Amino acid sequence: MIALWLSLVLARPLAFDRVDLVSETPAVWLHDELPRAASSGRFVAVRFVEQVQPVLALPVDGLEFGLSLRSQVLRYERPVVGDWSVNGGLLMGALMPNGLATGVSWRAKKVRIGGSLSLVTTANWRRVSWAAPRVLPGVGIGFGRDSRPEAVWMK
Amino acid sequence: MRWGLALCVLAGCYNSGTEPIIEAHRAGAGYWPPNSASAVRGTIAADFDGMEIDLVLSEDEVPMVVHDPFLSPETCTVKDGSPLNERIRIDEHTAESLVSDYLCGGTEDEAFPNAEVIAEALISLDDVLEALLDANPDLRLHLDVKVEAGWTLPADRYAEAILERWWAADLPQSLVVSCNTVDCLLAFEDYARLAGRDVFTQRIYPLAPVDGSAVAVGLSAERDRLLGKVDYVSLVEEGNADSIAVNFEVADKHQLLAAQRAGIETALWTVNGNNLDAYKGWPVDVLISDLPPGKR
Repeated sequence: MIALWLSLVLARPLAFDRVDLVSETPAVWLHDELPRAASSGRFVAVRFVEQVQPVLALPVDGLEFGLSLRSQVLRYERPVVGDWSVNGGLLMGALMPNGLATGVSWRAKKVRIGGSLSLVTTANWRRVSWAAPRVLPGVGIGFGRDSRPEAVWMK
Repeated sequence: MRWGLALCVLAGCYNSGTEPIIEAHRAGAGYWPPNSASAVRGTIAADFDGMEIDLVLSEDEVPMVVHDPFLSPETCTVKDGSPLNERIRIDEHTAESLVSDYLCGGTEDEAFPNAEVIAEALISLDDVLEALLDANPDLRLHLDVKVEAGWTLPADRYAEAILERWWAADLPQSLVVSCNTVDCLLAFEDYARLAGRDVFTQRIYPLAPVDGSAVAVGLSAERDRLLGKVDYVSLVEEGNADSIAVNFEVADKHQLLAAQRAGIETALWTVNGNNLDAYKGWPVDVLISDLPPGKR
């Protein structure tokens, strides 16, 4: 919704940026699911698919929106040196804000590798509560466009 | 050190520090015929932490120890050994006829090929309460109540039949009553409250209807979780319950942690074999298993 609103307001198109096969945020699959793959392979595989995250570049430079079945992230990422960038973002579940994340990423050609620290809660539409927060480190890997698309006014 | 511990707490890698207790599912279905007299005796003799059995009310409102609201031709026979031609509805027969006319447990369970195969008559909650006189007072008795519209008597009949028997027995063991619907939980809570007593209740999640597909139930639960419609604390609160037991495959570890931190007892079902050790590190107070370790 945010991405659509931005696009309409700025009259800029959204652009596909990449697909994160392993999403670095909120890293719940890495911490909770992967360790139990031996006991519950079916659901671990289902939850792997749930966290695969297509990422769209928004019409504001550095802003992107990741959307998986499991979670969504509105992230701002800025290059700092070479192929390295830093980022920060708002985490959501079914578009309900439920956490924050910050991290670094390395991007070259079609590959992006990210590392993050996510502050996650169980807030959902049934019960809006940010109690029981967890801090989860995560890593992610994505594949996409050869370079991050620039907004028109950047050129 | 303190910062490391704080980070660990926030990461959810620390729960209570105590190992979960292990309840024998269906009184130890991995060792004996489920919900059978042999299983109840065996669980008591093995001194497991807890014993979970399923209850369905007969036509004359006796709580019978059986999982489904019917006797199945796959697992039960007529008393003389001849096969059942159809399902035998529990709520359409008296306790006496169910006990005297049928045997169950005489066929091998493919899921547990090493379990004993013993054809036995059905037992009732009264038989279990009598057996508990010889049991460890620390044993936890878990009664999983099977109420489903169109298949069983209503929940309020269960509450009276079960709780009156339990209170009359006056046993030292602890009791947990579980249901998978809010109506059932509230029926037990209301009956106890009106009697000036308390009852420890547990919400079972997800709800698996009679003849329902396990895959469909699992995927529905997953869909609801992704849509933000499932919250373990809410599931417990709406039924005025004290505990939640979640199927281990669809369980959400973070939600279990949130429930524990909200003072709610958490449990996983049904965890067997090597998985028991894997899930002991989860934020759970109880693991429900067909194969509790320690059986000699």
